[in-house]
Amino acid sequence: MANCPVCDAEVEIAPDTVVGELMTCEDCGCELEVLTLEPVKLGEAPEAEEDWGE
Amino acid sequence: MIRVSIVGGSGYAGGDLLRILLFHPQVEVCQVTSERHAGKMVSGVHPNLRKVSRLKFVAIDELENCDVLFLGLPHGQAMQRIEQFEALAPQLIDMSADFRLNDSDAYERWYGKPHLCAERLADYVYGIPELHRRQMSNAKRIASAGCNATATILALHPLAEAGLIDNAVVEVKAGSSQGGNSASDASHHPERSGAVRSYKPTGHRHVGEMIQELQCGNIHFSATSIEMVRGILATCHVFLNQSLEEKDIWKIYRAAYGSEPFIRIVKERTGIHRYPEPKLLAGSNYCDIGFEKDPHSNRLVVVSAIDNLMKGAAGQAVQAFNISHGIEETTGLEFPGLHPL
Repeated sequence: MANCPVCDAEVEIAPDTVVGELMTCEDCGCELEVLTLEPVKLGEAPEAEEDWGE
Repeated sequence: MIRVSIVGGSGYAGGDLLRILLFHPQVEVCQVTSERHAGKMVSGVHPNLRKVSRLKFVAIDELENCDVLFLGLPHGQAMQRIEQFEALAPQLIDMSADFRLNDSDAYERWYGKPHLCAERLADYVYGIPELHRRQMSNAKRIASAGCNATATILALHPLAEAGLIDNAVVEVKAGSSQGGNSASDASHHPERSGAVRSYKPTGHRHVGEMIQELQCGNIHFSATSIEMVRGILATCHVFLNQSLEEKDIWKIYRAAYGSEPFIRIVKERTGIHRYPEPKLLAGSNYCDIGFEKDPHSNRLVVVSAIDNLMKGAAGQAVQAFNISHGIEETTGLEFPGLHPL
């Protein structure tokens, strides 16, 4: 288990996870990247910027 | 089977209630009243029920005994005949505002006249299941909550319970079905179509419910009619009394609603549906709640959306009914909405 850096939800880490793997937080939908495995550390995966009319 | 009748079934909330109950596996709908349409097919007023029900409306005085009476009368009418209804069924679920406030002074303040049977107010459980699930179990009297109040209370309750609200300013955008099915100058098509009309900048009657349930007097509420038939979007500007990060807010809402079947935290970082939208909830019993913390101030914006006729009326009443009878809470309420619509 690790925690989402955005919403702090618990994110399940499979035993065969590798550094650089991408996963999605089920609570906030943030795309996450595995930064390190021992200990497991997650970071926000870079997202393509889009013009959303903001 | 639980034998149910609906008093005041020709309105929009009554029609949605009938639609739900006709497919409820543990309910037999016995009678539906309408003084105006007595003797006519219910499908004549609710055309979506053609070939679904062959029930005809009856007058209130033709009602027979049953197990549960749902009351869908205009505000002020249920309390006028409450003794008659009490004699007909052991359980009453009232969708009007008559028994929502548990204090007669508060009723008079917000409705401008004395309550006709104030001694009964304490008998009623306020009808938001997420707040009063335990009291609803086996409850014989339930006062289903107002639609604007439901959207606001569900948005703010986790923060209020944590004592985090300094002030909250709530702006609701409301659809036309909130005004009921009686025509008025305001609902005339040339007047209503395309309207963005501020109809209650202050003093909305639902504020009484918000103050009662949130136990917080600093709630400032305004309502605006917009071009929409079903739905409410409540944008709540909450000025927090302490500094919090978004992670903290996530924890608060997750703890409050993580296991609730009809509340979803909607806060996406990409795509076009990032925050709650009433359009996606039409016909469903969900309340979607999202938030964003202003990084430059102590303002937290909480956004909630419901279908005013469902989570704001009929759906929530059935949810409460299910709880009170020990039936799985989601029974009859599984419809997830439509996309696109």
